[in-house]
Amino acid sequence: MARRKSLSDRELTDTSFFILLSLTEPKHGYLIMQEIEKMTEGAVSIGPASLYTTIRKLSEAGLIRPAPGAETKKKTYLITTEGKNLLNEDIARRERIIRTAKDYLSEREDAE
Amino acid sequence: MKNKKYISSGGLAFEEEKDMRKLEKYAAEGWKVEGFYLLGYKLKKSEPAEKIYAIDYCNKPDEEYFSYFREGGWEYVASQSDYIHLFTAAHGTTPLYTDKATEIDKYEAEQRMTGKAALPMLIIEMLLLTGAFGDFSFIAPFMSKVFLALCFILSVPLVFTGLPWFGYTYRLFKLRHSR
Repeated sequence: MARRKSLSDRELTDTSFFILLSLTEPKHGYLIMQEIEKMTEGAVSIGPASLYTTIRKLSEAGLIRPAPGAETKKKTYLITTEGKNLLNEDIARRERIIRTAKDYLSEREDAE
Repeated sequence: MKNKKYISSGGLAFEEEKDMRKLEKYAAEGWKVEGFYLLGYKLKKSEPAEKIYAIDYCNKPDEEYFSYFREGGWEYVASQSDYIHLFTAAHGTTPLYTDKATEIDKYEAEQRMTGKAALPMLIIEMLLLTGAFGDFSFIAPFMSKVFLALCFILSVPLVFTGLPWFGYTYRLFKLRHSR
């Protein structure tokens, strides 16, 4: 199914990436949106439907789970070990892309 | 003076954006949406408001679903069949969907649903057509008329699922081929 595709590719969309990152500490929906806006200094905002769909997908894939304790009305989530592993993999993947780009550009500048 | 108005929908599969712009225009003229009504919307006279509208699909959503929208600045307006949900917000509010992947999910679910409903009807319709234009007078002399009549009747639900299927398929094609 298409919904699983982006996760089984072991490659995170930007939305999933930021949500996983923000859930290294337990949070509920609205706080996730706020935290992402704060950490990206307003560059990234996530719409409520995108947030809801992505949380469901991450949850189904076992990358996040409902946080234990605090049985409040607001559902709180937390990243799982599997989620952390995938997040670290994706950070490394993104780093590789940036490094490649920077190396490539600086090589060209040196040659000039 | 009338303080209620009914307006038609262009069909969400094809004209979701156009519908939403229409509601926005009415809101600015002092007509706010009260709910869905048959194949359109029911409006009520109110203060002119600068509002935008958006549609989302979710089958029997839980409180969590609505809390995300509320907290994201989207006020709930109405639902149809506990499935199609209409929201409104101030101009400049972060849209419901902010990435392509989840927006594709939204329309893929619609495409699947309308397709699943339309396909068996399409097959029956074709069998009925074969019946109408084939020679089945050995069963009864009026058989082709019966087949033709059934054909006409069935074409109504077929159009109401088949056309949206084309609409969603076209949407997905555009989404996947856009940046």
